[in-house]
Formats: sequence, C-alpha cells, structure tokens
Amino acid sequence: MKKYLLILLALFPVFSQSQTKFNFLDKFAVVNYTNIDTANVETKEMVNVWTSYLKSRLYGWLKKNDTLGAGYWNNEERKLTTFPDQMCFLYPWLYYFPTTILNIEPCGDGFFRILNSNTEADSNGIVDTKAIYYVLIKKINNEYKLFNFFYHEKDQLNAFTMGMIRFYYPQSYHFSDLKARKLIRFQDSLSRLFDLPLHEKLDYVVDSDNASLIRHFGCIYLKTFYTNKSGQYWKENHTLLSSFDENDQHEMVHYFTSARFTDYIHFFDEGIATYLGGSLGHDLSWHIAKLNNYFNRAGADTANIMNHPRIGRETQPFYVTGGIIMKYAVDNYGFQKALKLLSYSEEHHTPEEVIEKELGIPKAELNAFFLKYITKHKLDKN
Amino acid sequence: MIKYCFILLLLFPLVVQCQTKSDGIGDLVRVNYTNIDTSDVEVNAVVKVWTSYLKSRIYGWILKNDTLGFNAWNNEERESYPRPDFVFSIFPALFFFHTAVLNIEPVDHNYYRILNCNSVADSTGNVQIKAIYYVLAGKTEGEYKLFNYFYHEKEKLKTTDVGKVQYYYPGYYPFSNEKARKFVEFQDSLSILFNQPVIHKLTYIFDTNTVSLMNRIGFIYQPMLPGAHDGRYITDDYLLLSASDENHRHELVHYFTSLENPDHILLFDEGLATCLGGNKGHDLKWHANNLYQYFIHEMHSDTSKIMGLDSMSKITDPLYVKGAIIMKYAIDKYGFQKALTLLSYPENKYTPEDVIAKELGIPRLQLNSFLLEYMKKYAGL
Repeated sequence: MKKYLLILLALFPVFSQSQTKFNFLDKFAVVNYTNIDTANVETKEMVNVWTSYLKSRLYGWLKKNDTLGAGYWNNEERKLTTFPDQMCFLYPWLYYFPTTILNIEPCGDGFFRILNSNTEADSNGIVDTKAIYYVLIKKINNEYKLFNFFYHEKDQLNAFTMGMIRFYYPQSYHFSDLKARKLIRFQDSLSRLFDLPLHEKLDYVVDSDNASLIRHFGCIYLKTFYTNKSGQYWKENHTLLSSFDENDQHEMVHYFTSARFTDYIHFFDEGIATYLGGSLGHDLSWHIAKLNNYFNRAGADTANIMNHPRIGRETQPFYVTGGIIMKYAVDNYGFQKALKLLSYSEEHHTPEEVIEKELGIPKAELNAFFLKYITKHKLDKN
Repeated sequence: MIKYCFILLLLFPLVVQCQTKSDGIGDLVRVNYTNIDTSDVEVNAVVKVWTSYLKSRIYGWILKNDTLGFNAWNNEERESYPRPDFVFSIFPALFFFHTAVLNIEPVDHNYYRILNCNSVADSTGNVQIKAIYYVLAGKTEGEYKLFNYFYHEKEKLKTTDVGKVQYYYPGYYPFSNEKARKFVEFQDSLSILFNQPVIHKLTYIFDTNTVSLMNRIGFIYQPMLPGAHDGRYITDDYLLLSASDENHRHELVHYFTSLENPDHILLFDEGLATCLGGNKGHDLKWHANNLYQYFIHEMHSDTSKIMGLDSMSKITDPLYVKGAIIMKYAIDKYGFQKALTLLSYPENKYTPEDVIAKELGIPRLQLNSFLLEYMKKYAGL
C-alpha cells in the first residue's frame, strides 16, 4: 500500500498535467526511430497500438480501472482472463518506468515481436534497467492486436495434464511424475483445509532456472526475478510459474488464498504460504534457524525484524515472520484463525493491528515476540 | 574519425581523472548485484574476468593499444581471430557508454552467459539504449576465459565451404550453391582488379534477416545494423555478416579495400563498395535515381545541400551513393588505379573534398553541381 502511495506521489505532477495535455504521457512510451521505421504504414500502426496501450495502463491506474487498455489485446486471451497482459503479472509496476520500444521484428505466422526496455535514470545519469522483454502483435480482422509472448511459446513446450493441473515444460527438462503427484496430493490436502473444492484448472509452467523460466514469457531480463530459483502465482489466469520443480507448494498455497479471499493482507498471504509450503526450497523451520543465527548474534539490528532486508539470497524476514505468525495462530487457535487473519482487507488494516486484535500480541512487543519465538523454535523440524 | 574525436572530448574529464584515480574507469562498468550473486565463487570469477576486460578495452583505447585485454579471451578464438571480441569489432565505441552487467546465467557445457546493456542518459533522465548483448565465459585450464556468443551458436548452424569462404547459416535455410559460386567468382575478379591474392579464409555468417543474424552473434538489440537485410564486414577478423544472401558483394569489396589501406576515407571505401557491389540489393543506377528523385522532390533542387546530405531513407544512404558516383567517375576517367589512389589517403589526415580536388580536379565549390550532373548520368536520366 505504501508503495502505491509513494508512486502516486511521484507521478502526481505527471498526471495532473496529463489531464489537460495527453501528450505528456508520451514520455512513458519512447520509440527508437533508429531501428523502427514508422514511415512503414504497418510498423506505424503497430507502434500506435502498443504505445496507446501503455498510456492506457497509466490512465487505468490513475482512474483505478484495472482493465483499461484490455481492448488492445486479442479476444482469445481476453476470454481466458479479464486482463491478459502477463508482463503486468510478472512486474505490476513495470509500465510506470518509461518504456523504450527498441525494435519490431517479424517472427513468423504473421506475428511481430516488439522488443522493449523499461529503465529509469538517476541525477548522475546512471541507468537502472528494470526489464527487457518482448510482446507480440498480429493483425486480426484488419486490426493489430497484442498477444503475450507465451501465447506462441507454449506451442514449443511439452504439455502434460495431471489432475486439475496442466504442466508446461521445455523438452530439455526431466519431468518428474512423482513430484507432480506429490503436488496433486498437496493440492487435495489444501482443498480440504481451506474447504475449497477445485473448480479451476491450473496452468503450471516449470523450468530449471529463473532466466529460462521468464524467457518463456518473453523476458530477456527482469530485475524482480533476482534469485536463480523462485516461483510466482498469477491469480488472474490461474497460472503458476516455478523454477524449482513440479512440486512448488508455496505457490500452490497462494492459489487457495486468492481463491478464498479477494483482498487479503500480503504479510499473512506470504506467511501462510511459507508456513504450509516453505519458501525458496526450504521449510519454515530452516528459515527460523537462519533468522535465529542472524538476529541472535552480537550487534544484530533487531529494531524491525519483520521488515528487515533479505538475509542472504534465500531468507526473506517478511515471509518468515509471516510464517511464524500463521503457525502460531494455527497452533494456538486452529486453522480457522489463519483464515480469520486472511479475511482482513489490506486496504483498511495493517498486519500489526490485526495481530494485536486477533492474537493479542501488542505492536510494541512484536519484535520481542519474534526474537523469543526464533530462539525457542530454532531446532524445530517441520 | 570525427566520431572518435567526439568520444574523446566526451571522455576527456574521465580520462584525466583515470590517470590519477584508476577507479574512474570503473564508473563505465556497473554490475547489477541485485541479480548477480557474487557470493558464488564461480559467478564472482566470471564477473571479475568480464569487468576487468571491459576496463582494459577502455584503457587500450586511451593508450592506443588495440589489443589490450584480449588475453582475457580463449586461445581458440584468439588464434582464429586477431580481435576476438565480435561485439567490440562491430561496435567499437560501445564500451564508452555505461555497461551494466545485468545477469550471469549458467548455460550448457558449463559456460556462463553474461547479459549486458549499454546505455546513456541525458540530464532530463531520458535513456538511450545502445546495445543489449550476451557474451560467454567458460573455464579453460582452471581459469575463466571469454568466448563470443557465436562460439556456441555456430554448433546449431549448418556450414559449407566454397573456395576460400566458410559459410554458416541456419538449418532451415535452402543454401544456394549457385549464389555462393557467384560470390567466389566475384571474389576472384576483385582479386585481379585489386591485384591482391585471396590469402585469408573468410567466415561468412548468414541469416534471413538482420535481427536473427545479430542474435547469432549475441545481440538482443543493436542500432548499428538497423535495416532488415544489412551486412557488415569485420576487417581484422575476416568476418562477413550478411542478412541478404550468399552473394553479398558490397561487403566483400571491403575485404579488398581494407587490405589496400585500413585507414581509408569512409566516403571512398563505401563508394567503391557501392560502385562495384551495389548496396541493400540495388545497384548504383537504382540508388542514383533514388537520390535524384529525393533531390528534386524533397530538397527542392537545392544543389548547395547535396554534399552535406547525410540521411535520406532506410535503403539509400546518400554518403554511399555520393562516394560511388565519385569512384565510378574516377575509374571511368582515369582507370581503376585512380580508385586505389583515392583509397590510399588516410582518413585522419585528409578530408574527402581535399582529395577529390587534388586527384580528380573537382574544386570543393563545384562538388555539389558535379554530383548532381553525374547522379543524373549514372541514373540513366
């Protein structure tokens, strides 16, 4: 929420001006005319569709209209989800950094791929690249429409359905039926725990590392995918991405939290996923031991454990403390209490308020609670 | 040459600083530690070899040492190519723009793929991306060495030897032996014309469009070859890149002109290549007509601007056509030796206008009207 406010404040001068002068938004969609020949009518049309869409996303955000600009996308993908742009799922803030359209390249079957780079520069001229990625465009009924890179890419991947999950993986990947079966069993157990029958079929895209995984979605580079392995769940189109394996339990938990609740507190969501499904390849007890080693050492900064920066590449205190809260809630009050915590709206409540109200831990004592908990449970095994 | 001087001026404060503070050059190379885990010993070693190399390239340029840093490259490529870094050969000024090392990803055969983005930002925060490309690093004899992306990519390509040319092309492409033979015949005829034996084996990398071609070399994005079917000859490595076909004559002419004098004047070099080998699939007649029509319709017949015209369309480059007109005139009037004489003038000491006045007797003030007259003539108008 803080992030939203911060970006809103940063962009305020832009938007206040943009209401009277639409062209100001051109700053957010820059065309590289060296490589892109807009004297070509078709190229110009493609550029117009993509830049108009990018500007719509900014307007949509300002007007709190999450689907503004969806009309630029093809009907086939729009039928599957109200808002089909997968780059927005991978990196929701991406388009608020100026997009440079670097190239438009034909890629077969009437498709063109648009190469983009989103960057920002500081006052010293140092450029921070946020993402480099492709989006596809093709003429349908005399009108150019946008397509996700994955629309085409999935035809290059192996597909295999087990239970309610359709797995996609590259031919070079050694798919494990055993791991997939474990995920199905975990899914069944969560279905009972959350009291939610499985209605929706899940797409599960797996590859051996993050760089290869995001490439299936057209990304050459994505700053937010900074570890070698990670996962992501997209509630909008019931798609799970994982560079771990066929049994990414953490992301599977998000499927259930997002199916059961619409506006939940992020801290509790990541917490329940870490508690039930671990995080970045390790279970909660492993991460607790890591936190214990880090915070129970001389000179450690324990002022704000919950929001402490990442420790190493694997342990995110925000996730682990969330996991501790959810485990504590379940151990002391039962799973219904976890669901109760998840039922609070992020827009109206802070995690600290809810923890105090539901678990009786005052905000001022939260750090002490975490320290005591990690010390006591450092040797626990899940 | 003007470009180089411009870059030198831009870099002057940095260079001055570098002499007293070696880390100044480090500002041109940045590692994205968010995504690159340098606590991993192997990744850290890769980062070191690559960033040290990039700094060496910049130092090498300052010290006028063209080969400084090349010992960071693997022996196999160094033996085949005097300047083993293809990215540097294609875009020599690239490393003077900030290099951000964005990611290091393990790939097949225990190699790492290094993703780089070179960019520049102005004072208002507008960013210009200069290139996005991969380079490889692999361990040989216990230490990491750099490899061109093409080193591995070539294993995915088909290869055919015709005469002294080794072609690389994608498996789906129906290779034309006839076009390749025509190319070799053209090479033989140029060899006679220039009186230069073909002693080097030429590496000819081909793909059906420029984007795919440059992808083979490791580029995700580059502005140097913006057209759909461009080509480039890399002088020191005897490397010809083409997105045209197996018979890219224009670029082959550069092989011979660079043997004559590697420091030739660009107008004469591109002019002779266009005169003898055409450009972008069209011969001089076609381009002369194109330029003439542009002169009539877009420049309102203003002769004073012909020599200064530096851009026109994606297909016809005025510099190439003007150069070709001058070279054809020189050959027609004085014989091919005159073309070689024009090429013998070094770019860092002479302007084309000086040389034209001296060798062809066309005064600088009459050059525009001369170009217009022969543009019409060579266009067949």
